[in-house]
Amino acid sequence: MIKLRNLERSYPLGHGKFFYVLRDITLDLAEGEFVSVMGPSGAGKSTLLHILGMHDHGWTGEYFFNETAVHHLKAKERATLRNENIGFVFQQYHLLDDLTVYENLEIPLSYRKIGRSERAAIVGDTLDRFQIVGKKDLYPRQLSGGQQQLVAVARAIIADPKLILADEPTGNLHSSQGEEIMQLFQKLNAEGTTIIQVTHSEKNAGYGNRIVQLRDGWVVEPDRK
Amino acid sequence: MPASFEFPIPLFGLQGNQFAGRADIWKPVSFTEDELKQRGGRSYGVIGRLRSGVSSKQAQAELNTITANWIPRFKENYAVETGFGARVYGLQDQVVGGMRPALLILLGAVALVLLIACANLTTMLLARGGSREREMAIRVALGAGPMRLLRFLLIESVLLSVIGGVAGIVAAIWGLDVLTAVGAKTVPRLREVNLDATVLFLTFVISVATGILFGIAPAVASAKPELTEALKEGGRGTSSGARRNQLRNSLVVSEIALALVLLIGAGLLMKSFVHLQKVNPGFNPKNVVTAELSLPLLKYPRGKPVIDFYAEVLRRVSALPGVQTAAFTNVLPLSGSNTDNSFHIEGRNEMQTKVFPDEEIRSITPDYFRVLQTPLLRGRFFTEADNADAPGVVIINQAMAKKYWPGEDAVRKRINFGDSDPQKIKWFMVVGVVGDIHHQGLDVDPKPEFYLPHPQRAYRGMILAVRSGQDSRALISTLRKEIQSIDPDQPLANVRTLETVAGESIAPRRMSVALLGVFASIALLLAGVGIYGVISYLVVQRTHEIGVRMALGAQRQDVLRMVVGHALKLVGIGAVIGLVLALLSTRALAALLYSVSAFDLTTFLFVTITLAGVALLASYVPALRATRADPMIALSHNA
Ligand SMILES: Nc1ncnc2c1ncn2[C@@H]1O[C@H](COP(=O)(O)OP(=O)(O)O)[C@@H](O)[C@H]1O
Ligand SMILES: [Mg+2]
Repeated sequence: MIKLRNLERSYPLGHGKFFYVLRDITLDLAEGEFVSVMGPSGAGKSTLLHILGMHDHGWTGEYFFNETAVHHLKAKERATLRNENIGFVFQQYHLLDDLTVYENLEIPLSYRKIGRSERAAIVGDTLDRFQIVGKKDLYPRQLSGGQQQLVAVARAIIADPKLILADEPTGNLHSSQGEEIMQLFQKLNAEGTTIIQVTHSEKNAGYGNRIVQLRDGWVVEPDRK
Repeated sequence: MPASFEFPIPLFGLQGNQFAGRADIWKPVSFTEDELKQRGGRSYGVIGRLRSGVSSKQAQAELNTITANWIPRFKENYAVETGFGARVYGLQDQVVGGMRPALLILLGAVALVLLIACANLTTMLLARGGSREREMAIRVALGAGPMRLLRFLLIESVLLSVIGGVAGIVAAIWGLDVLTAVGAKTVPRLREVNLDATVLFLTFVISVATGILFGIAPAVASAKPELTEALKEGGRGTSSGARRNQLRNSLVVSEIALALVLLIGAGLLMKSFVHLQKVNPGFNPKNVVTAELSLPLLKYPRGKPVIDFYAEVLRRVSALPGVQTAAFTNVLPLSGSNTDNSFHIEGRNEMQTKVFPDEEIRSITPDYFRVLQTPLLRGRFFTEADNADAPGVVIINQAMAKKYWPGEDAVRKRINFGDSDPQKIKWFMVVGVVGDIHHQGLDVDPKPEFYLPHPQRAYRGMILAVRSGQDSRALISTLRKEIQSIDPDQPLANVRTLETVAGESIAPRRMSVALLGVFASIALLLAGVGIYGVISYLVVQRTHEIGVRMALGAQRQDVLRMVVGHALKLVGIGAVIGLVLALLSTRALAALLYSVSAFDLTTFLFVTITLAGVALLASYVPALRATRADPMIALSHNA
């Protein structure tokens, strides 16, 4: 599903020097995998995830997504490809403060060609599935961290993506809440969704079937479990 | 008038050259026996100072009694049904009254512009206050008391408004020169306008006071930040932020509404002006030069000497190279002067018909209508043969023909002007009907007019009108020489082209249109800047949201639509309010409109679309910036 070839990401330091965050990444990730990206803080995990999620495009190298050469796409084509395939769970949730839970869930649908009534049906189903129907009119600040992350996950999967990217989805949660989310991912994975998560926790990584270790921008252990 | 001359009566407590430029010489009025018997002419105005304690109402009552007494005494002239009487006007109303609606509207426009500027200032300061909430919170956290904070903010807004006030006064000093130059002939007493200490002080106080008032409000709003919230969230969607957004939005909405009112007003006036310029005055003012002549009574007694002098002038002027035709008239169209005369129509009994004819009278020489190029509709023009001894003849205009002889041919009908001795009554036969001329103004419908040949109604003061092939101004010195060769003492006064005369007649409108246009443009600009400011701030404020939305699938055009849509919503609300306000207020303009309804749909539409266009443009720039934002920055860890 994902094929990275010699992918590099750097930030200019000034005076013509560059700081490399990702170095020479060559990686194949197959459809149906549940991958955990691990590594110390600052290793480049989030950076990698944002590149995979096509938010960031300031990199060099090759990135094939289902045979599509992402590195050759225009911004608009990239956005379309992303909208059709990828759901993203942010480390900081990134729920919109001025919108209710319901409205937050609706955002991804509003940018896809989905009619109003169908949208309402999908949001309703999702609220059901995550058992947050009672929270639909609340604002993010009225929710606990766990509930917020639950909404963020719900928002990531609402448009039925083939690939879920999750950046430390349980980082700010109690272990019981974290487990809930991991079980959800496992279930989604079993249903065919490919999942790539960043995690520090061996336990969380245990829910997946593959670990990619990153260190100072290098992939050190691209082996299967 | 020499600088040393002072009008004998102190007016409004003012002495000095208030009539400079209007008259050079004042002479006592005196009438001959014959003239005193004449009751048909209405060309004198009476000016009087009321005894102290007497109101103009009392004066009016007294005049009513006097004129009521005349009516039975001079039945011939003032039958009850004519509504004959005298009206008392205050001199001030008379002098400046005509400009009153226009000046009031301009004053209103200035107030609106000031309001818009205030709204703008507040919006800007609100944005600043918003972006400095953290700074303020930190200051408070470090121990700055509220008074201290307030003082700090106050100094800032006072400084801003003082700078603005000073800049405004400098602009006013320049602007005044332009204004007096443009409006000198238009607005009575404009010459006397200057920026005296009172005006400067008042303006300065208003600008500084509004600056402080509107500057301090947002300052107060941001001086009370909820500490922990501001420090923690870094200005991201806090509730006080939402309140400020609401205030900012409503300010922009009011700016748009007010600007729309001004723009519609200016639009209506402009349309009136365009219509007015398209009005056919009934004559062709191009390539005609005019000059006034006035013969002294001693040198040119009544009758023949006057007639001969003017005939001689015409003979010589017509022979000049470059002159096509030349003629005299006693009043020039659109020049502001007028004379009227009552008359009787042959075979009509006024007591029965209750119609007491009294219409505009002009005395002209034969080629007058050829000079003006006013069309002859029926009959003939005057000729040399229509002299003092010939049978009386009169030419009337179409309006007069329609009024007195509707459905009939007016030619060959006869009128007279009465005489104390019925035996001496002279009849004047209508020999021609000419097209109507807008005499009192392009915006005033032509009135019935009748023309007598100069030899049959000789005036001592006449206006020469000369049509030439090309630019008629080249003729002026030759004309002067020619007159001097007939009578070296005879000056040529008030020399101007007919185009100037016509132009001056719409000068007050031109000035209102120009000024209101300037104010409306400023309002449009301010509204544009206001929208730009608010949307720019909105984009900055919503960087995070925009980043998230883009990460969740928003394309560039989605972001563009969202930002511009927000602007359009503000514009929409503002436009609706503005349109309602305009509907309520354009009625005040009605007096200044010409063949344009105060609710002219095209103007309303066009102006609204223009404003929406400007608003769209003003929001598009920051919106575009928003779409270029890198979502990565918004989504980065420290967001
Ligand atoms: N916009 C940026 N400019 C410069 N350096 C950055 C930027 N974003 C991330 N980095 C650096 O890249 C490195 C990797 O960051 P990140 O991918 O967030 O690490 P992590 O593995 O903790 O998620 C860090 O050292 C970080 O400081
Ligand atoms: Mg990270």
